[in-house]
Amino acid sequence: MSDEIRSFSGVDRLLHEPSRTIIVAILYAVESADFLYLQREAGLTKGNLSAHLSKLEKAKYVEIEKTYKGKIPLTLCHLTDKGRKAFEDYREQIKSFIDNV
Amino acid sequence: MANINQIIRKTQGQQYADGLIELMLGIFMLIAATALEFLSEPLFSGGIALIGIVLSAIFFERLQMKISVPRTGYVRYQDQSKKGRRANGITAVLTLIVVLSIFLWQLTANPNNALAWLGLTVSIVIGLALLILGIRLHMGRLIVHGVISLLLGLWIVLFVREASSGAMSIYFFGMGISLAIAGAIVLSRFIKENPLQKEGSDE
Repeated sequence: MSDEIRSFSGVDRLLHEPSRTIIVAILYAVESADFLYLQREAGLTKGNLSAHLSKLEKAKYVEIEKTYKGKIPLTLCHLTDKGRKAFEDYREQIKSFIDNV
Repeated sequence: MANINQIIRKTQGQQYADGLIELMLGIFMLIAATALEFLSEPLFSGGIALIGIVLSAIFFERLQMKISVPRTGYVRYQDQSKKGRRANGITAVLTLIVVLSIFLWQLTANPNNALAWLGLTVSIVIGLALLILGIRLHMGRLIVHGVISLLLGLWIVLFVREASSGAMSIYFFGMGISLAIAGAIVLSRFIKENPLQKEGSDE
């Protein structure tokens, strides 16, 4: 088995979970998104989304901010620089693995 | 494993899902068409155009917060990188130079048709922008708007041939109607397909 394939065992396990991959992919494409947007786009329940966001926030991949736009309360999430880099590295790993299989 | 590129592309396309951008652009173009009709009174014409720009921008954000955000959530799209902004700026300047050059060339060579040719050039620029965006985001209706823009421009230069600003106002009126109707239909469908969530529901 080639080194590139073997190195896949070191993939970021935090991102290598489908729901979290989807959440981070959505946040990668935008500057920030609120809870409702993520819930709908990722197809998750509120509880599920909260749990995944907590894990990502604990790893400092995501920052969560409670704010207002006018009078409307919003819970906004955005990727940190660390999270953005982690996602880019993860994409590279996946691509490299698939190319070498 | 989810197709990551597809997720990213779909997210970027979401800003067009409610039809509000098309609706507002359509209304702005109708206002621009009206302003062009009064070009002989520049202050009045300029005033209409300015009011159109300001009102479109204000109403767009307010309608988004009132209609879209409670249904599908709030998202802020990325500001482009410096490189992206510079590239867009250079493209805009080059496009302006090309459009003005064609207009000035026609003004000297064929003054009776100059504004019709300007209409064709503007229609090509807007049409190509919509086509490229539609292809990039896989959105059929943006491609249709792009084709409509090109056809309107061709029609103006082949059949209208006016020396007045009528040629340009015909283009903006036609595109305005097309965009506003498409935007209204998409918005209506968006509201039906995305009912407001009940308070406290888990889904």
